[in-house]
Amino acid sequence: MKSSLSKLPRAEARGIFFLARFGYHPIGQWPKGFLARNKYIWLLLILALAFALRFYQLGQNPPHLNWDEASNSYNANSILKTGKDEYGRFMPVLFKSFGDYNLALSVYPIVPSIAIFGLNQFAVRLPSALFGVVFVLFTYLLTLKLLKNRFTALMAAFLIAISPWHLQFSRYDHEANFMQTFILVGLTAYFYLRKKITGLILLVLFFGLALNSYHGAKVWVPVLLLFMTIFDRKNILKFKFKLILPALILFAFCLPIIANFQNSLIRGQSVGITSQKQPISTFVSGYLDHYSLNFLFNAGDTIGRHAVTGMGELYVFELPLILLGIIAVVARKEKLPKFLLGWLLLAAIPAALATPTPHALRAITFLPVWDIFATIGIYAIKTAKLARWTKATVFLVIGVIGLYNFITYLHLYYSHYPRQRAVDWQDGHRQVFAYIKEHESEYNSIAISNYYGHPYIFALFYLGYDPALYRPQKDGQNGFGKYEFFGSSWSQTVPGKALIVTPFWQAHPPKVLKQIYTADRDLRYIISETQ
Amino acid sequence: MLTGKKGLKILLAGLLAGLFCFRIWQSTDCVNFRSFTFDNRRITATVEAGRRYETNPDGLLSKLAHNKFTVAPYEFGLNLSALLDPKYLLDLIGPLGLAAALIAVYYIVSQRSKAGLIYLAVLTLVQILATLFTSSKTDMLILCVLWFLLGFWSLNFFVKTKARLIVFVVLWAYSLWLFFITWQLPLICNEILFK
Repeated sequence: MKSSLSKLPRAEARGIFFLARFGYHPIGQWPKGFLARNKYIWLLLILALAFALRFYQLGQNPPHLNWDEASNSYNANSILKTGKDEYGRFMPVLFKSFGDYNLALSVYPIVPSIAIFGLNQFAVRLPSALFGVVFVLFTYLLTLKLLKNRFTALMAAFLIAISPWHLQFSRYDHEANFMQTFILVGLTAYFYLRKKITGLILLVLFFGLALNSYHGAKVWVPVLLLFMTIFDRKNILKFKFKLILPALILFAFCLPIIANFQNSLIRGQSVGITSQKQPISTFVSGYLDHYSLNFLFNAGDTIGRHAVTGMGELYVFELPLILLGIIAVVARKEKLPKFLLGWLLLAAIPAALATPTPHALRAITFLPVWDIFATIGIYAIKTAKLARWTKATVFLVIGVIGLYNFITYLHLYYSHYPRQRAVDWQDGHRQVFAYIKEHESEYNSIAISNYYGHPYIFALFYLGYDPALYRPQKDGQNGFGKYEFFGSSWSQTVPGKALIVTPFWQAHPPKVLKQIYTADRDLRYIISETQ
Repeated sequence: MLTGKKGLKILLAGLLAGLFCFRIWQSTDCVNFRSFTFDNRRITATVEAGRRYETNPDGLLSKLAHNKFTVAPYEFGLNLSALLDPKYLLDLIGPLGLAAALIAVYYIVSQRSKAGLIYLAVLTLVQILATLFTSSKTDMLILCVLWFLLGFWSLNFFVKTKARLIVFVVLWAYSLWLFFITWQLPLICNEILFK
């Protein structure tokens, strides 16, 4: 819809409403003054902040490795030492893991980190944190290209650097973070080299990497690629026969998925909406859930690993800015900023195709678009035809609320979160295996309840069990070496003294050696021994 | 007799009004509408839950970070965001109502319609006030009517092309069908009074 007001003389178009005014100010101007002289210093400072927020206490908070992190890192360790995964497959393109067949780039990026820092929590999370910093840099570059304004680009980078949503997923090992970084790098490369085929080649190259990092990319990449093709069709179609090369590259990246098609569907089948009674209404409901203000600004994702309790996925101070930003983009005529609107509307599709919703992890596809809209909102206020003191007051109020939001987030993340969400991070295993490591030699067998799921992977990780020793033993998930994992009850098969680890409520031998508490001081495990 | 786009607009307005009237009539069977008012006990519970995770729960820092003044805006936000939840709005005004409302907002903003902007401001204000009313039935009816009325700004959009007109009719039929099958208004009503 074209704005009829844009045809009016400027004086006529002036209204009493603030919203009606800012559309006339071109975004493509770099403000004069201090910022202009020190643009790279600001970017470096923002990157330093992003680095600090992602690396501070990286090995300690989140408080414990979850089983996916343990599995990815143990497989990475196994690849490093033997060239094979935990199941003995040489350099696989899909990792069987717990039967969900994770994609190659969920594991391989961790290999160099483990090679340098060893098998520990910090090393596992290091690649994700580094990808997080790279994401901040490319948010700056993409915003700069799309909006042609350095101030807006710097603000977008700053907002993503402090974003609770992005911080959450760049502080633990999850391939969704890798996927979205690849997507962002690909898009940035494309928009910088849009007129050349190189731009398209780089786009499909990075989209291809994204496809091989996270299951959700199998939906997100085609959706985004289709949108890009429609959005920029005139530019793309002019390449004609040269399009064969990017198509071939993309096909090459699809081969691992095509070759393992049945296995690569397993995860989608277990969480997808096709298993629901009413898939269409589930999809619509799930789609809308991701635009819920409660999810975005108030309560966030209820899954403990995905958000801190008491915070939304975005800061409250961003809400009016995002609204202004969306209005500003809608009201303007430039083509490139409209790309952001399309992104905003499509980003919920991958998450809506699965349950439960809203789901901050699967909806990582929204990043960094919300923050870019917020920065457009900031710029809209900055360039609005308002008295200086009015603008200063608006910025002061936003700044104070923003600072309060940020301090609250830091307090909740570093003070509450490690305890409040300890159970979600499967806390307790590290303490159990630290004890076992000390006393292992005193027992003929060590039996661990698998009530809390996949204890074998925590055993392998925290004991640093040699992959070459583990693999030749069959059925490792039920036992290896002197370790065995049992369900509701344990019966002794190996004669001699045994160490038993059970949830606190489960029957155990009367001689209790140690009680294991979570960081929230909840009793989790009882370690006992047979007489 | 009215012909052309004006006549078409009046026809669409009639269809929209009919749909909305049907929904409002349906919702009069609710014994109680979902309440969005403050709950003081919940605020107290949230304060206590927050202090539980402090190193020194009774210390000054804990009291500064977790008190009724810091929690109340959060609770207020919860209520306000529940009122603006797209899923809730979908239940309230149906797919056509929601699409019409979004298009109306787009239209108002891009056309910079003064009346429209004032209307949006009133709508925003009423959303905030709705969290303060104690009578859930009163504020729900006000909200329903305000959201429904917003949809009428979108009619210009729908009459422009045949394709849009078809989309309108399809969404209208779908909304009516949904209203019939979702008689129980799960997100809006606490209970239904069956006559």
